[in-house]
Amino acid sequence: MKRLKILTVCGFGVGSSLVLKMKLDELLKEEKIDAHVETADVGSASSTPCDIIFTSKELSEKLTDSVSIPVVSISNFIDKNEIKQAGLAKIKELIGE
Amino acid sequence: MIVIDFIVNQILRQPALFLGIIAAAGLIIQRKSLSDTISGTAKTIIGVVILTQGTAILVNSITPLSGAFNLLYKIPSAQVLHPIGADNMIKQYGSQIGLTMLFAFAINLIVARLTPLKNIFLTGHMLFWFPFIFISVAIESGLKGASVVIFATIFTATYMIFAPALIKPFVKQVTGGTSFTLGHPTIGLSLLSGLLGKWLGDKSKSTEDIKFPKQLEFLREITITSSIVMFIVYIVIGLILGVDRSKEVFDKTQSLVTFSLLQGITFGAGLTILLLGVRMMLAEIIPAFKGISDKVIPNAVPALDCPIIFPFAPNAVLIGFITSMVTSSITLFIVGAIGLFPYAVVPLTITCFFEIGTAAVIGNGTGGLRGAIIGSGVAGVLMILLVGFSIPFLQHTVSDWIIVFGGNDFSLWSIISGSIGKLF
Repeated sequence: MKRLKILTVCGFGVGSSLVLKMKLDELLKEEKIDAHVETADVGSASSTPCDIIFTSKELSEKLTDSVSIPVVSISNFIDKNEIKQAGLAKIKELIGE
Repeated sequence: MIVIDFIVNQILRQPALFLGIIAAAGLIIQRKSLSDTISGTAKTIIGVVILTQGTAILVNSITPLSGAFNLLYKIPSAQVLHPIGADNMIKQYGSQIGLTMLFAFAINLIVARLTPLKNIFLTGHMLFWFPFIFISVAIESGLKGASVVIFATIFTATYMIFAPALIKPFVKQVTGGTSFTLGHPTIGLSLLSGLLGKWLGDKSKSTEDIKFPKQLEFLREITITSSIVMFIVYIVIGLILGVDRSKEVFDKTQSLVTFSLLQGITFGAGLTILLLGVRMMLAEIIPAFKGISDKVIPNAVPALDCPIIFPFAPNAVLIGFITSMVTSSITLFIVGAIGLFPYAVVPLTITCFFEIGTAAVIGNGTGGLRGAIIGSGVAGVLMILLVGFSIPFLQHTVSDWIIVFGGNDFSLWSIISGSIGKLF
């Protein structure tokens, strides 16, 4: 099975996307899913190869139009429950569980 | 001795390698696999090199503007800024920056463990730029050797501990919770906006009640927005100078439109590269810092990057950006006309978006739409004054950097720490 690549996106790609990445890493560890999480800014996100994107609601509207992969929108980046409810099913679907 | 000498002079003085070692230590502490440790360490080292180059591109893209301002304000050549430059600062003093990051974070952990101030500063790039600013101020103040790192550590730690604690009540008004606070140089401007909103605002109408035109959504991409703004700035300055004089300072062969467009785009390109470098440099170090903090202080309140509160009032962010671009441009014309600063001060797109966008979210939290507009409008005026008054404190080191990224707590704290540094 190929290792899933997840991209977390914010305006600058260095601050809040890193917070989201760390929360996702925690969640993936709990769920025992082996995936690679990287951060990106909204400008370069659509040209970065990955399997699924996690971002904020405002940015997801922009990204959904320019990529063909699933885009998950999260309103509170440090709420692990919201991330789990919004994204876990999609991640499991992608890795074929 | 040879071994110690080699470690000190060949490794610790090389910022890229030094930060690589910090990342490697962090990865080992987190018990990552050998493969992840090697790739994480290598990425950190490459990130530092990319960051340095990106900074150079970004800063070079606005250098012709400084030349134009010098001509416009008839600044005598003795007063023209000759900083050693942000990219050279990172090359020469990157290890001191790295050491300051480590020491200041350790102090932050100790204070959070022992006192009721439970916030832990986790905004990665700001953990880098605050030491960068304070190291520069220390050098400007004539400090040498270990005292440079001590000076920078004291100020970085003070900022990391107290600033996020000050803004916390206002963050709570926006988010309704205390699960996090802000760790970002917006704090000074956001406090101002929050207070103005409280005194003059009207909570009955929120920024989120209004419908924002979809055509303005592109403004949320800061690399594109800042490219456009820099393009306009070049065109306007070129027109003020006139065709002959602008050819003299800008480019002898290209037309003003072509030249301005390319400089604007180069600014956006430099910003993109800089961000890529920061991202690669910190992707491993910050999770390691967080891991340590989670172990030592279980009930810590993370102080995070400002866009974390953007989703609570996305309209306020754009309103704050547009309002402050207008008020800061007017302020720029006024300070230019009365000759307040003998330096080139250019519109601060990035600060208007992130710092003042956040200030508008806070202003909306305390005083609704009116609070957001008043708060961000006043913040735009203050931003120009802050950047102008902070330049003398960074004149020989990173004045080229502060005129792109300043006008916020970086400027405010350069003024504070520089005034104290003058006492030595």
